[in-house]
Amino acid sequence: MGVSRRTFLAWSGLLGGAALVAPSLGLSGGGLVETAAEAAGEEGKEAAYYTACARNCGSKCILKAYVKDGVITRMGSDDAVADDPNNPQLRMCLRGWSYRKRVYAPDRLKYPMKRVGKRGEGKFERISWDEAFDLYAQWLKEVKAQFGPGAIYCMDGSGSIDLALHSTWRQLGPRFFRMYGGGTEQTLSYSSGARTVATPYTLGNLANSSAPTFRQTKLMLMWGWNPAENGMGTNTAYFLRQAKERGCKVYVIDPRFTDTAASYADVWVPLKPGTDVAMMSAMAWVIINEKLQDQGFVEKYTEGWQEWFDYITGKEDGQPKTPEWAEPITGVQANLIRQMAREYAAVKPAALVMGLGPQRTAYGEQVARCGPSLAALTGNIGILGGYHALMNWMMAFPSDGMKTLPMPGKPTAALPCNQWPDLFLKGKSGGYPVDIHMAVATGANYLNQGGNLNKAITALQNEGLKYFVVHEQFMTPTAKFADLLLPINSLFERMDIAHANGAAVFMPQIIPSLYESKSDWEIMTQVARRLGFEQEWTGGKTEEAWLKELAATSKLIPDWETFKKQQIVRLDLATPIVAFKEQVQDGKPFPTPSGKIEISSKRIKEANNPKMPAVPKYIADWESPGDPLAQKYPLQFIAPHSKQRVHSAFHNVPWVREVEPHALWINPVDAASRGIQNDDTIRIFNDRGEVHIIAWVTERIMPGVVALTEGAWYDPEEPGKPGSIDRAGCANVLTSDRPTPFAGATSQHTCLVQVARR
Amino acid sequence: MANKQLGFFINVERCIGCHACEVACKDKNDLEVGPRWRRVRIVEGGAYPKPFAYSISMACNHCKDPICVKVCPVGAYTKREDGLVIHDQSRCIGCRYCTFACPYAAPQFDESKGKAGKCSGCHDLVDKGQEPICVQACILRALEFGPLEELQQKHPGAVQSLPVLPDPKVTDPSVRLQPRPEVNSRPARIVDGHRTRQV
Repeated sequence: MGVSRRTFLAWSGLLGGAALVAPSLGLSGGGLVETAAEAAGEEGKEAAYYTACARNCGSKCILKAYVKDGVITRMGSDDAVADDPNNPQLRMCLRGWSYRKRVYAPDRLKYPMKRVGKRGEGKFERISWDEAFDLYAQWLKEVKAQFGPGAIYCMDGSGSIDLALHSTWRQLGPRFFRMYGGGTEQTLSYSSGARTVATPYTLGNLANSSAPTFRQTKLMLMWGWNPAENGMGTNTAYFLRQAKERGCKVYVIDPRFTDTAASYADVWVPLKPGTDVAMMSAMAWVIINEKLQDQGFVEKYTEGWQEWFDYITGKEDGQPKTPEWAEPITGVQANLIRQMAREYAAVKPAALVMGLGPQRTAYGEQVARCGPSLAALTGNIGILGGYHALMNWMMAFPSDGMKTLPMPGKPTAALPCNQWPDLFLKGKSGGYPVDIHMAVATGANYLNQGGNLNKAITALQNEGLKYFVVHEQFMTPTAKFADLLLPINSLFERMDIAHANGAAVFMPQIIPSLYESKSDWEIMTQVARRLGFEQEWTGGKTEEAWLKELAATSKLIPDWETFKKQQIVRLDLATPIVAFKEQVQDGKPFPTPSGKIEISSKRIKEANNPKMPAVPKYIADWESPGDPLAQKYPLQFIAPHSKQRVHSAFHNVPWVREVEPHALWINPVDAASRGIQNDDTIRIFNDRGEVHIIAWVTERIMPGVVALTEGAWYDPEEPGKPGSIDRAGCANVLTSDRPTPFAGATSQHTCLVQVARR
Repeated sequence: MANKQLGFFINVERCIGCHACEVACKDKNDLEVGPRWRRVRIVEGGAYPKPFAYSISMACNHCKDPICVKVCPVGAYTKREDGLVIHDQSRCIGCRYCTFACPYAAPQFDESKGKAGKCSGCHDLVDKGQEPICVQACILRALEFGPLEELQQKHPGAVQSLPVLPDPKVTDPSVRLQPRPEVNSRPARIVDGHRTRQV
């Protein structure tokens, strides 16, 4: 573990003032819970506390930690209530169960460090916290004085999320820099950039329905949506199983035969990446041509449908979007498209549920608008068991209305997060509003997680970037590029409140901060002190006082002391949440300019962007089989999520690594033509980089497409050198950073590669 | 409950292969990389565009006629009155006979300890009236634990074995499985962690 038990015993005395309250638990089927008051002072006694797994996976599950002598000895999950199919326990996945190995990972950063080698070489020397705070403050002062606050880039990642206090995502960093006078912030996310901009043009907002509503669904089209491997909200996979057991028929549309396809699909429909809109358009053609649409719904609730019909029927461009037209584009047989279209139009309620993968493509804005248009065509919006085809990473949960940390002020500039490498390299000369001279990463492994990793290396190594400060728990690929590297504690080492899915969870400080680690909040407090805004930063309040104040804004949380004891408060999950129910059932207008679902958008038309038509259209991706580049790089490359990681988090945990190999999925046809056998080490390459990893030859992926799950930690043969061969299987060595034309979002799934034996 | 053979029910139709049970077991039993006392194996077959895959989560089957008990030269295995088969690691000499003999490969050699080890049915939790940790962890509620007779009554379609599993006559495993149609199709390979076995 790297920390001796003796050290923990020495620290356990520190816990007196910390948040080790006794949870009073009405356990059913649950574990032994000694009161902390007894246990904390007593050597050899085991105590147990609930907390929440606050990771960016879409779910928020209950973690339970058993603690002895200040050390977490094992994990548990939600056993505080009896399990009930309508209100199931908030059980966690394998990552939650592996959390102890993450807390005590040997590569936890132990003390503050300053870079000594070249940026990215990963050479550091240990410094004291005082030196670190002084340096941090001095650099900020210098850059702000010389270039203005906009030269400071706030790289806030999702390493810590949905927490009242310690969320890095769009919370601590932006709050800190706004108080310091500005900073350049990130907008959108790598996950959902295109749909976040595009879908509201159609539906008005991003409202979602809850997973239990699918229990009423008779037909589901799970489109690029993989809830068996991505949480999609705690218990979503379980509610979907309940739907199956009630007889729901399921199509899974995905280039891979995912665990979702294996577990739920009656029919798997492999579809070439980036061709979703072609297939949806062909389904719309069948429905319109055979007059199967819900014309009443279309006329009452939608705007601009005639214009879309003209595109679909070919009246507009002379090309009817028939299944025969779509077959060579999508790789899906025309008859299968016909069958799906007819069933989707005939069976009600039917849910077209979409994941975010299809919108992380060149023209991701189109699919983000086409799905809801198709759902409107069949009248499946606003009804129980239907779905509005929102591309999502989690289903809706009831909300307790708790407020978040106040965020005064404004950033100097704000740009889509995925554009940072280009911004760092070009600044104002590239048309950006600012030049970046300093960056601060909190909870962000963006070198690893953004498109075109080698370009990102050159961005971090460019001389204009004077300082790079990284707050991290581990020596990640991004951390290796830090000038100043600060060790952050884990969620077990600080007090917080989590919004679990349908619950609020009091998260006590369960163990002392390991080594010299501190929370982002503490670090920012110290730096704010040196920069003269500590009072504004803390508001003169302790962390607990903030939590108590925020908790008081929740409809659900009782008084603070009761909440601290009770730890978990829950909302009823069984009451279905149906997005746009008020619009469809009660006649409220949709939150769009016309008050209707805007299949055609005037606002988009006015933007006059040739790559953003007013109605959703199929536009062939730049790196796709039709691109001349395909001569050189004939395989489409996608980087889906792995159940083993939350993006790059948990990559360093051996228990999750062990469950399955990290490898490139390749169809036997593509493998055979390259002389590749299962488990061979192969080269995957394009003009952006080269990865060496083993091949997973499988019938579970369509020919012409290869897949490597994102999040493995970049491991270059030559650290710090752009273009080095990666030996870890980091997908972003190959992906592109080219933004989508309207949202400026990431298009990482639009990528061509070649694969060869090494 | 005494005298009634305890066992696991595994709903193969529900299982999504998420491995939560497997990692919960590793945490509860504090296992290093290597031994996986409960492991989720993925059976794959068929050919594109009609492949199939299903997962079987299996630990020790606490057999009625446990071969581990028979082959152990030092008597490290005992079968409790409730049918759970317990391995006493303090008596184990690491001869590995049990690891070779068990048709389900439930006992596994732990390199870090130089001894065998296997699922004990979380008897410490069971004795306190709780469920084994894997059952508590199952996201799909595909694992159940209890008197075998009751499990069989609750799940009349459950079977003692599947075509890909060893002949149950050898040890009479205390397990019931809810099959799915694919179990009758010829598998091409079985994926077991980082090991893949062609069938």
